[in-house]
Amino acid sequence: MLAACATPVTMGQAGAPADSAHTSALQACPKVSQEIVDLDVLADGLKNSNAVGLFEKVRLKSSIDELIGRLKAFHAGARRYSLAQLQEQYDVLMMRIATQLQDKDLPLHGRLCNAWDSIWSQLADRGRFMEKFS
Amino acid sequence: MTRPPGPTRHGWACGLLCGLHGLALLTLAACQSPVQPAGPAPHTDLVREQLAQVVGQQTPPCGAVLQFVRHDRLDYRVACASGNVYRVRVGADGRVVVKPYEGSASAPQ
Repeated sequence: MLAACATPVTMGQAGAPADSAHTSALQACPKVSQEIVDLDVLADGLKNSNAVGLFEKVRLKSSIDELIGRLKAFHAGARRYSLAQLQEQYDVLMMRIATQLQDKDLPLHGRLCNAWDSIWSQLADRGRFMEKFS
Repeated sequence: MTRPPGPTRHGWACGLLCGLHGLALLTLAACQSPVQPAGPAPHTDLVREQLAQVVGQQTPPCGAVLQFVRHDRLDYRVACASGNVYRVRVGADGRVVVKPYEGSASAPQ
């Protein structure tokens, strides 16, 4: 059935919820002693984690930097991506990182789970973002 | 005697020049696309790229993501170039779960 799709077709946002108001995810994150407060702390944690290979670390760092660049543009007034789209881009990047950590670095995975929404709140808030990244 | 209607010498020259001009324009147009600076990637491409990495980590092979549908935040239906279709979601504990979609070729029989 899918083989018939000769050209890549993207459904993307069609029918997707506009906001993240309700999600059943992330309601039971493991308790952690040390919290991740922002993307820098997460990047440091990844850098020092044995769960992620060297090349993947470089790729993840690059993806994080690219996302920050897109958010910078957004907060500067560019409207290439909406805030909802940027949140989705953030979420799938975090999913990718979580996939790397969940079986190999449980403490860091737990910290990521707890910080998932709070990091996004920081990134989405123009004032807090500019304070951090300008 | 009247001269039969036809292209004048000036007409031929113009035709030739216009043809060359058109050819030059076509060549320019053809050459322009590769040298144009790449703009920002479309949102869906960015999401597809990350989803391919997520699925590929857990259930290779996936290849490129051909299609995805977002059902909820952190909950996707992902169709891979391999022909397999997966549900990719984040559980309450923050774990990413990738499972073959019911009815897809990759679903357990």
